[in-house]
Amino acid sequence: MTGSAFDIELDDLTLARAKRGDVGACEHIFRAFHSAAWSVAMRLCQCPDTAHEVTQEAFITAFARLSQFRGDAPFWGWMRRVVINHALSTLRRTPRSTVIELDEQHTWMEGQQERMGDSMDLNAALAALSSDDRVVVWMHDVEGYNHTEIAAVFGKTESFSKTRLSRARAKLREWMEKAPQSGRLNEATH
Amino acid sequence: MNVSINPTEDPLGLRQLNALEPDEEDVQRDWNVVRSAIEASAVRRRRNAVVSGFRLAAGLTLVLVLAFRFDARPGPEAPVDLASRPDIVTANEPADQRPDLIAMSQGMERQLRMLRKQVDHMPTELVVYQVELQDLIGQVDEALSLEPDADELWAQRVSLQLDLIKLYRNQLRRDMGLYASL
Repeated sequence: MTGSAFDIELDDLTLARAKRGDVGACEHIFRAFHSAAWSVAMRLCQCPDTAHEVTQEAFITAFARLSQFRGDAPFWGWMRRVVINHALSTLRRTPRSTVIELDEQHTWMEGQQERMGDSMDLNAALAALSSDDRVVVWMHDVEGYNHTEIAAVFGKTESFSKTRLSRARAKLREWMEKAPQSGRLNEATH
Repeated sequence: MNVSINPTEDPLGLRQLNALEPDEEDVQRDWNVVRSAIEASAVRRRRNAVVSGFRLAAGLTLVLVLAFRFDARPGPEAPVDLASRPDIVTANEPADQRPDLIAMSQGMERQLRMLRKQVDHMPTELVVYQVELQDLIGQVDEALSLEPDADELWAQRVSLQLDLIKLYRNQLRRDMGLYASL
């Protein structure tokens, strides 16, 4: 897996000390990975406060379960998985009324377009995806997970991952390509 | 940091997005919460170790007492009348409490399953407490797998489950209060 902000080396001594509950070692790990954790949580949850909650819970879980980390894979991969699991769990707890499904609400998109000006950049387009689509496309295209791994995180099949990825990419492409030409998304869709 | 971008894997250039950075104040706040959880966990582990230590000491004392009593018997005569020898501690005395404790624990497990379905969100500090209680229950279960007849362990399990039930019920009450005020 490459291109991930989590790809940070952690020395064995710090890890061993953290496993024994050394607070200084835990803080070292926290500060090394916090930025990556919060950034991913923010990308997936699209809310700073929620991203902080996810980050806190992920680190609490990671330090509580550190004894289960066997060291047969890089620590950063394990840490990243903990963060993503917590982000997904938080997104699932969010009441449906606060999750915008854009393939059902084009008027929301139009409002977003007006607020952004003539173009929808990649940040805005990513934010506009449904939470599942956003998580899948981020896990695959940025964090480098394969479909088997993504399916395992969601508890679904590889087909789910592939379908969601394809759909997410198509939507992102559509929103970014159409907006600069027309300036208004609703003109391009009719 | 290893960054290797394969265009076919990232056709939309998502990896080009800048990493988002939180404020340093927020980083410190996050660390304060995490550190509190680590310290709380350490306190519970130490307390648990002390309780386990006392239990181990009590068990060893029992073994020594029984060994001494058996060694001191004059010969294979009439069996010892336990009713007349209150100084002899046997492992069988508390057995009548165990079925009740086990039944209570099973009942609480059912309650917890129902409560977990009803509570869908808790503040972070309560999540910390919940994780700790579940960890402690896990440790008690591990000890029970080695000493399934230990009444003290069953009692401890029931006590921890009760704490967890109170945690969920309090959260439900808070949620009900919140909905009622809307």
